[in-house]
Amino acid sequence: MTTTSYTSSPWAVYNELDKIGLYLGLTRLKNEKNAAYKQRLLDVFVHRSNASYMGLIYGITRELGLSITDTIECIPKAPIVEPAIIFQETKCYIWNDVTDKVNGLVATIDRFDATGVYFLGDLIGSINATNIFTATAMPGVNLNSRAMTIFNQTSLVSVPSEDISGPSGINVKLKNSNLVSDSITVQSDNLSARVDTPEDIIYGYQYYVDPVNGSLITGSIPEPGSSIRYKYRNDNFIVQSSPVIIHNLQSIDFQTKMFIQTSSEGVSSSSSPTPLGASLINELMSVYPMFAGK
Amino acid sequence: MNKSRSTTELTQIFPSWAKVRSSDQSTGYLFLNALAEPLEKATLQLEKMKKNQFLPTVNLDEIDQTYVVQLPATTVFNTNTSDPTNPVEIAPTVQGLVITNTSSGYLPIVTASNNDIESFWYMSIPDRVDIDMMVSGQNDVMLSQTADQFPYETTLTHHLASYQEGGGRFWIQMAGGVQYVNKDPVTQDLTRGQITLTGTTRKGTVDTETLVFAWDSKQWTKKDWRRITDIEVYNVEPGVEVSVNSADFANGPYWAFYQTRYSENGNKVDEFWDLGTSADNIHSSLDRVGYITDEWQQLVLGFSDMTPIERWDLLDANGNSIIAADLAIQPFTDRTWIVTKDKQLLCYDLTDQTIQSFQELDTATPGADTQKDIENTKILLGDDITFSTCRYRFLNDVAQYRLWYKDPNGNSYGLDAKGNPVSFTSNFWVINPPIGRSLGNEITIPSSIRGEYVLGLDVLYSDNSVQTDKVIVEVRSKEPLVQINLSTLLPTNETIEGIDFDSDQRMWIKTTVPSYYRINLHTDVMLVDFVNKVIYFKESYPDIKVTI
Repeated sequence: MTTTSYTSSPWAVYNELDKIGLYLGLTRLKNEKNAAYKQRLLDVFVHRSNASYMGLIYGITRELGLSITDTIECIPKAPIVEPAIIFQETKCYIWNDVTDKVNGLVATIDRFDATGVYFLGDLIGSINATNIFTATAMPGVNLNSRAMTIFNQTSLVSVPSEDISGPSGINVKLKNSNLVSDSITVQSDNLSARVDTPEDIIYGYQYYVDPVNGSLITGSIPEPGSSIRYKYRNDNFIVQSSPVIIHNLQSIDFQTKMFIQTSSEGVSSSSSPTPLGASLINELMSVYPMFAGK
Repeated sequence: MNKSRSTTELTQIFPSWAKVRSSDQSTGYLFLNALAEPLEKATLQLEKMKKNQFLPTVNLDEIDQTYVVQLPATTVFNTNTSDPTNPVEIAPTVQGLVITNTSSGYLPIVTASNNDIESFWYMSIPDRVDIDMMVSGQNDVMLSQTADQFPYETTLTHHLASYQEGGGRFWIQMAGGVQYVNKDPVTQDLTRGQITLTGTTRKGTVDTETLVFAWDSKQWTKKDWRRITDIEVYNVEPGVEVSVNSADFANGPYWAFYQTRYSENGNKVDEFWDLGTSADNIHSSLDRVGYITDEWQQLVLGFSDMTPIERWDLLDANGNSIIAADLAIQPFTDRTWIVTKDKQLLCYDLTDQTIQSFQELDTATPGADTQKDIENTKILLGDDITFSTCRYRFLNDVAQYRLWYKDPNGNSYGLDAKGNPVSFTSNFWVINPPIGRSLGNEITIPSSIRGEYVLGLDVLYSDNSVQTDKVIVEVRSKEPLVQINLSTLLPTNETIEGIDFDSDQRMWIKTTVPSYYRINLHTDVMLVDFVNKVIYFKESYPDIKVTI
């Protein structure tokens, strides 16, 4: 009798989930078990992948077997007028009053540079320091992850069209409250003038919007096909993140990270790459043989 | 032999008074059972295939990831030549290196019982476990209030929402109602009890799900949820207690995974499992539970109480009774996992068995004129075996008769006219019994041994003919397929409260803190391809030793 040592290697067996994966164009990753594969397959229906910013985030995250996770809960501190928190490009913007474009912006947090708010833990501290929002890490979140894992998102939710015609008559309760007052537009054949108080309604074409309670009072019953477009504040905003970080070289914000900015007659423009920019460009060029010039 | 759930469906072709339909000890029943077992296997396979067509119901324990070792092409396996006409290759001796946080060593890996995929992947029993996740600071018990207190608009977050799981099912229970299906007094439309949940699904979308209740029951959501933000209840009596949990710990009865059971009246019935109490009122029994009625019309009218249909004493690997804390039905199997407060994890087969000593019935007289009248032929240890004698046909006078029984150890005893045990070799014939429907008083024998008791009644009639009636009484118990000690894995200061499988078919154990521990089941089993010299494993091992 002889004893020999061996090392086993993975051997995947095709099953019903792989068949569904073929229908959905999502193959199983190496060593991926059924439970994880099922969640990725379900994700195809929810997070559609395409060539847009979010489509790339969703698609790449899913294809790599990574996940989008709830990361930070942001709740406004009372009393704040119309607070908002917006993650855009490399910045996190915190608004005291999102309708006041001049004085409403309280803080701009740069979360790209290693010398600044680089980690999620730092970002939470910076948000809390503004006294506009209370930011709390969701359980299980690694506070040492990069703050840039939070992709573009905002606590303001857009409702492109909500039907206001129907059985409600002249008192319409909208699906959401806490509307952003300067984002409201009514499209109707018989409603054309917005008034400031319900008492101001005299004619049938006038209407009043109560943004706090999310209600609409109209001078006449909205004609069929009438709708309202608005944004509302999600005051229980849960910020999500993905390990996939996507930047757009066309973005002015990102160009400032990639290239040294020179100023001429008050207009800044990109010049030679920053050390980070040079490193990224070299890495990009290493993916496929390319030549800068001839 | 396994007793198939489908046998009762087949016996419906016989009239209700036929013994094949009323007794699972009848020859007809046992014969049909042999046909019903493959029929049921096909039924379950079809059920599994149906569920596998859809992502939300797919079996996540389907064979997916195996690990292989390719032996050299020159490998020659040992051969068993005891039958020279059919030499059989013998599987090599294999050991796999297992490394845990506290120890490492080589464990023996056994060949799958039939060396096929079914016995390798689907039927093999896990033999060790580890814990790969612990959740604390959360609670699966969410809400319990009467129906008139709804709508409920406070966020209920799934206890696994913030961890890798991202959420899961919610369990809704309604209790204390009388009638859930009514007619609207104005529109005369039929109304049913409903609960509508709105919230964020596990995939992060805002969604709604409605569950319909026709009587008091416990249901789980078909969608996986991360959090529920709004709950509304419709068409339910105001005093009905509505509870919402994000798991199903220590809250029996539990739905059987496969619902293929028919009642003796031929109605499709729901099947549940629960823990009960043994005859000693200390230890635990495993109870197959059903509604008190098999007619849905009665259920709708509110007769939805449950009662044990069959019971088994639960034993540990040493044959001792256990005190169980909770049970959980493993999805896509006929297995239940049971935890005890002293941190033992046991797996039991839910499949029932036909009587083992049916050959004892060979000498019984079919349709004897005088028979034993016994109410319960399936009891637990310590329960009394109670029966009386009953003359079904008065064709001849009874000259004498004798009652006897054989215990599970094979010892036979006679019973005198008062029902007291006497030596089987003594003369315990009762001569000239009273004339009437019964030959004597009700007799009680205490059950003291687990197994099958054979009760016999020999009757000598005035025409010198002798008839024998025999009945088998089962003193039932279940031994575990495997028993695993969790005391080294769980904190010593925490007591086990319950066990459950989540929507990913992963086992969780809850302690009283509450803390939740995700249990990884491991099976050290292999499948040998003798032709291609390949060994397949269910687990991954850093090193494998193969001895040939």
